[in-house]
Amino acid sequence: MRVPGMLHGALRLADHARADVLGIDTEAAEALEGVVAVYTGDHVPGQLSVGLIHTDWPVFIPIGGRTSYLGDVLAIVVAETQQIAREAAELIHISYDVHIPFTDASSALDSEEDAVWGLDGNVLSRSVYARGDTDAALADSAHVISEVFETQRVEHAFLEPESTLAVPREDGGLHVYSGGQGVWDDRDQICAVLDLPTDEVSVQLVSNGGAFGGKEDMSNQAQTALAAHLSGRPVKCTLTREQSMLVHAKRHPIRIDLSVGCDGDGKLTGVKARMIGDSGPYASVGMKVLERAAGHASGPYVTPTIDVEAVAVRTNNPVCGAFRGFGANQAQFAMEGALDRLAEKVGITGWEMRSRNVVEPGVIWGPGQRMDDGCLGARQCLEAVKEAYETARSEGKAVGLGLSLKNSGLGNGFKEVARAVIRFREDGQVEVRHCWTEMGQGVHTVALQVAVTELGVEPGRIEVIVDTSRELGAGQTTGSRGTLMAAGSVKAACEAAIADGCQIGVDYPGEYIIDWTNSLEEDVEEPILHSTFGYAAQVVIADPETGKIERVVAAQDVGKAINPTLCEGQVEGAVHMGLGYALTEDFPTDETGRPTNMTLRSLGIIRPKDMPDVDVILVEAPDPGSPYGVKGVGELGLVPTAGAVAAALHQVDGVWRARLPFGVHQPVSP
Amino acid sequence: MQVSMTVNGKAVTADVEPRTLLVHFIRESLSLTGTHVGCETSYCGACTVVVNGRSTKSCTMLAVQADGAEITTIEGLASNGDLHPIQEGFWERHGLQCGYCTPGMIMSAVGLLDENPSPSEDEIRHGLEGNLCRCTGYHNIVKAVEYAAAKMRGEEPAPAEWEVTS
Ligand code: FES
Ligand code: FES
Repeated sequence: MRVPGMLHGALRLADHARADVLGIDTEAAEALEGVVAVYTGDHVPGQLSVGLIHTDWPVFIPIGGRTSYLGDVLAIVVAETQQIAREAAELIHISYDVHIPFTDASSALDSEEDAVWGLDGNVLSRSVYARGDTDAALADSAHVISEVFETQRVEHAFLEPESTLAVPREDGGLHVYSGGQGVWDDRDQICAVLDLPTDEVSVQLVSNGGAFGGKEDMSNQAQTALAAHLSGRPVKCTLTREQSMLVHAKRHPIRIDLSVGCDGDGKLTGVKARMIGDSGPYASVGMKVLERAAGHASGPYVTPTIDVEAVAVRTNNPVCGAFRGFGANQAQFAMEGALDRLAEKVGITGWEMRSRNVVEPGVIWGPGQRMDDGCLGARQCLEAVKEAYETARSEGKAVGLGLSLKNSGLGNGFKEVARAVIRFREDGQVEVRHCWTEMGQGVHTVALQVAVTELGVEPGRIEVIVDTSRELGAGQTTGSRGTLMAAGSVKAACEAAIADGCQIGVDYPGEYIIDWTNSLEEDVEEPILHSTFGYAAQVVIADPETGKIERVVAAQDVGKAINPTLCEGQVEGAVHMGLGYALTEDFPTDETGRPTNMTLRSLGIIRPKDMPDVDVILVEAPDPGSPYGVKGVGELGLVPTAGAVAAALHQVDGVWRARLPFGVHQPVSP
Repeated sequence: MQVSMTVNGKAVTADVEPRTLLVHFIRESLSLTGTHVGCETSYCGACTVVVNGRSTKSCTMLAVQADGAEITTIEGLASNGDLHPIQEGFWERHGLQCGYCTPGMIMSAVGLLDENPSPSEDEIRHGLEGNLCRCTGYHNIVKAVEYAAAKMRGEEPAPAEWEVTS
């Protein structure tokens, strides 16, 4: 995107993960021909920090402040070209007093010293719950496994790096084009930084080139908006790939100390989990990720006792936050591993073990929720892959199975509101405004399909729009809730329009609200933690000699497939990401807090030729409480994958894997 | 420095700094922004264009090295409003999600099908080796190229899986 008179912005990031900033010398940068201005923390008129939940993430580290990770921003340069801006950013001279960073979550947890500038203590959050006497149950169990599972940090690697364009409006306000995941959050945070009322900043969503959760927090929106606001000229700022990797929040590495017991028949007796997640310096949504990991600790299984604690720890490693799966991946990699180890002790297959423990309607699950008919999807997924599982085993293949659940939406007591507006125009077109970010998953198509179905008009007459012209604010497009809540709100808006005869030029609003969930802390009998769960079973089939993965059979319960092609596309893409998670993807840091895999190449994303066949089976077990019975789709497809790969590789070489990633083509031990 | 080249059939001449990458020349000087930048380190393939008949990552080349070259970008593929068979294939087989990798994928496929009009699935996967996609898992991209290959050979593409099963 470009507009007349546009300047280019470039960020200058920190050189040390934890260092006092003594001085920022911008002279050489400003002297470079083509540079218009350099802005730092001193120029911020409003709030210095932003954040989706806690306001703890500084948009600049000012002189006198302290960096807390390598993605911290010190300055933004504005220049005539991108090349000049980027060159000038490197000419800014910053003097530091360097401190030793906290790069290990356990040591940060034990330390008295604060890891992060201006924040007290290194515990971001602690999510705890228990049901029954788990220690006693484990002591009485026929079989118990106790093991530490470790998952790695992962970079989203969406293909389009973050980009923002901010344009001063004629009325003195600012119009911002953002590639984020939630334009109302962007707007409110920009207003706080610039100290402007919300009607002076409008934010328009630009369909982004992939996000997967990595574009929920602000990246460069505030700095770019500030530069445009102060210079009075349009400014566009696109992060370089390295900056993108340094700045945005990653998937949490979590250390999971897990004990699971069962009786002689393989029926689970208890689950005890202690999790420590490295959340990096700023909150982002890290506490919610660990809360979700805690809630999903027992997977889609019934256990009479459970005892879970999950701690999010502040460190000076990269910030961790939202990433497709949101804690469910880490927790269920561990739980699936435990289940397979127990199945071996009992002497039954992984399929049989899961079949004996899977949730059924009416049972109490995990933290205490009574499951409704929506959970029939779990067994249906299991049944859907049974034949593939048994056939591959009988052919002598190395076969692993994973079964998982994932909530849709935020849940945990969070009130979620989605709004939509339908408007019939003079020219015969129908505007459908909803509040969710299109990032490749097809939520615009879903909104369109619902409007077509409900209103009975031609698809060509419908225009799907997302902007801040109406107050539809819904927060982030996250937690696989886009389809569910867009469908609900657009449906309601269509019903309002029909009831009023679809008059031209009238805004017909519709709402979809989920306000009946409970948080983990609330002390209620049978809490409803999440409104909806989806389920997925995957069979990973590998060559018994080499361990090369040949095929993945992925059954997924989507409740109701509004658009089967989009659903399948989501599952295939998710399996690709899940295999990368299991085998090759990693984003580690060294002892200075610096990521060591700083190119797309080194991230270990699976290439076309290494991608096995994926057979997708869509299962429809409608959710009794959601519009059309819809369940979220986006995240679940990579939750069971790592566990299934671990089980398959165990059949190749007899080694139980507890640490991600496993690496490819493990040599077979003689 | 002055460079001249033919881009999508049109002769262009411009002044560029010697260190300007071809991809930036195409996007900034020619305003052809369908060619994307994903990495600038010759890995992702989002910047692929066809240079003198060969699929080339335009971030690996300086604009001055393309002096005198014949270049086709994604914008030059459709003719008179008709989609190129490869574009049609991506549309018909849901070969994209976020779409960021798509122009590069398509331009790589142009080179691939030029060399081998009847590639096997494996040959397509190897042929797209230099192109990264984070969304699709590649399955539908392979199907899209198979569709296009059939079309370009004058055959009827095999029906989509979802047309067969439902
Ligand atoms: S931008 Fe050229 S290969 Fe990635
Ligand atoms: S469709 Fe998003 S990167 Fe390929």
